[in-house]
Amino acid sequence: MAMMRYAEALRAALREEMQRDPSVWLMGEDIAVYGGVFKVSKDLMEEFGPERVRDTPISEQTLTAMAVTAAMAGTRPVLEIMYADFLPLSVDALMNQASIYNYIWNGQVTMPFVLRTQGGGGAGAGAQHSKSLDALVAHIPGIKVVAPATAADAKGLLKAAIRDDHPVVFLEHKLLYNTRDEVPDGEHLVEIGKARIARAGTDVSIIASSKMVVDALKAAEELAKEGISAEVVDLRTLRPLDRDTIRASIARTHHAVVVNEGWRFCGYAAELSATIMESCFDDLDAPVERVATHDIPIPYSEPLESTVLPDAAKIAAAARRALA
Amino acid sequence: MSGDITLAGGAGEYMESATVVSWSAKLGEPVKVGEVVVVVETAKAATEIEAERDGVLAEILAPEGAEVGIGAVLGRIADSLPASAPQAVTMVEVPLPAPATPEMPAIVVSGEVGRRISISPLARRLARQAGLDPAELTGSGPGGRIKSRDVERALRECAPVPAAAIAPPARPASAMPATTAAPLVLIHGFGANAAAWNMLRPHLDGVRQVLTPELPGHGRTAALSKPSLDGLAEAVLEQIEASGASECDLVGHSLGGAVAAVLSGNLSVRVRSLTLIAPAGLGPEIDGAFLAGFLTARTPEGLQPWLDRLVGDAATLPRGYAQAVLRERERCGVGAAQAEVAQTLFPDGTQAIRIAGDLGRFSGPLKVIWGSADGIIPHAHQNDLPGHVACHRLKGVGHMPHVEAGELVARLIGQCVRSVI
Repeated sequence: MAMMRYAEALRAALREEMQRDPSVWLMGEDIAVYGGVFKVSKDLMEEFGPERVRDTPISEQTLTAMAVTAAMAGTRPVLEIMYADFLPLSVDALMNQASIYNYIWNGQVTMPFVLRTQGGGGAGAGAQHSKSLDALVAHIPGIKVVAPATAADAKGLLKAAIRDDHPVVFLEHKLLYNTRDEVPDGEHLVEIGKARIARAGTDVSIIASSKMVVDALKAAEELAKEGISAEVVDLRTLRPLDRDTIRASIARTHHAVVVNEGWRFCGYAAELSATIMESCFDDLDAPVERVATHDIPIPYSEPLESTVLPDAAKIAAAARRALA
Repeated sequence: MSGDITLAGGAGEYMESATVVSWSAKLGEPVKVGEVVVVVETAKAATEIEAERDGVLAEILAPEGAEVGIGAVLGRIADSLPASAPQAVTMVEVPLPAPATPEMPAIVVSGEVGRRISISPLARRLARQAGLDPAELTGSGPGGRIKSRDVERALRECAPVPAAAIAPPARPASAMPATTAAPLVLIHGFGANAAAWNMLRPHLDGVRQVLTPELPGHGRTAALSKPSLDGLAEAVLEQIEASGASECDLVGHSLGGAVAAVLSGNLSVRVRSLTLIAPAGLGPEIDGAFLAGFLTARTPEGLQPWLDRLVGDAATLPRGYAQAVLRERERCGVGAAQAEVAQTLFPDGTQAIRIAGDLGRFSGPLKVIWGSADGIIPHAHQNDLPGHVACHRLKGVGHMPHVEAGELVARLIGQCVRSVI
């Protein structure tokens, strides 16, 4: 157990998996010599050499197709797409190649690659570097999507993702890289598809992922001062969705707030809301409350940006509405 | 097999029509099953249509270049060319499917529009379980929506009432018009409610009117603050009086039998005849383990073994009986009220009530019906009854003769009722 930053936990996962399995290799823009813009792959080129830690041109579309073919050829590439905002360039390879080959070729092909990327706002990075495109990738059958909120889960899920024989999109958040928590040493694996209760409560379930878990926990703290006991469910995996944990939580609290940093319209929070409506209807004592980003490009201006993005205050307000 | 070569919809469900690209088979030439006979093209994809049988391509109905709708017959395969084999392509106009016209929605004008009740799904479920009518609840949520807390408050407010203020039954015992005729009054046993008679009632044809009052703390009847056999009888009598009857025939099962016996001597509604089914109050023995198990069970799995003990053959219990009992118990205060009734009337697994005196004083027709396999109250209690009581012992039947042998019990009740002079 060690206190570790989220970025360091990711690096530990990469290093351990590269040591364990020589078929694991990394590629991406500025990840080798520079160590990655968020320093996740710092020093790894020195340790594993330029064959296994490769800098690439700015060409996300090609890189993703390369990862697909390299995975088909039997290696385990870990591709870093610097900003989730550029996921649309990867989506063709994800949607028309990576996600379907296993199916249409009758299981003869596995697709063991990980696409790491980071998204999210709150850093004043503007409309092209602040998006959360969870829904865009979680929409694709055949792709697993994980979005850890803590350093421990970042390590455990990345190790599990690298060992997975299916394509995994690994969503990080730029504001989480410097957050710290206790991370188990060595062989720490977190099963893909399992949510966790980040905080237990009895009055309302706040269901979130990635950085929104941090905001949900702050909201729960605020609500506790008002005598409201909020349970925070950290999904950890967006697809496949852990419906059982969601159902069990709502069976306890009867009120749900779903949170996602993506856009509200057709967003991931809408999927959560529909799932709850379908499987927990008779347990609901109020309509599901949805907290998501306003349906506009993320503004560069800080006051405007904070107006548009979900935060702890908005989550707490939604919980109060649910309990009204 | 008809031999029709048909454009199936399966090639792509979005497809409404296709264009015939080329006929691979020639008119009059033999084709084999599985061979491609014609190629059609939809917006993007060419689809090959195979022969479904061996034969000869006898007819081409849709020539190359023709646009055809789904389901259209493109050509025919026959065993041999017909005598007047068409030498040239027969042009047939194949209609395209008409665009679907949405049906005009019927406009329903309702004379009476009920008030739409805003209630959360959870509150609706809780209200249903508690037997509460959502229309009678007040909602405290946004826009007056009824939430679970409103149901819980309503349940708290209907706590047991003192004996002096027994509420009239929530529904008239069986929606009977006020009458002076003598109704047949069926009094259920401990832990049951008016629905206990559902299996018997279909056999009661020819009987005038039936009343099914409920014991306090059972069904919809408020509990007594201090239960006693006389208190139970008084509450049932009030329900009979409310029907307007001046005389009646009484049938009682188990604890309801004891209640009926007590009521047999009442002065306000004359009792014409008395039929007691496995009545309580004729001896000290009663299955205490059953009472304890029945009262503490909280799940259908925990309750079922006790319910099975009620009957000679477990298969005669209606499906869902355990669930119904538990639902009933969830209703406001029912579980606690029944525990108190049991504690008072059957303390320590012993019957503390006596009806022998009441039976001795009753001069009308009097029948006692008992199952020989009764595991709750021993049928041996029948042995010491006075001579004017007709005793029927039903072989292999348990504690629920009216459920297990409804037809016979109904016949016996009928005999008792008709024997009144």
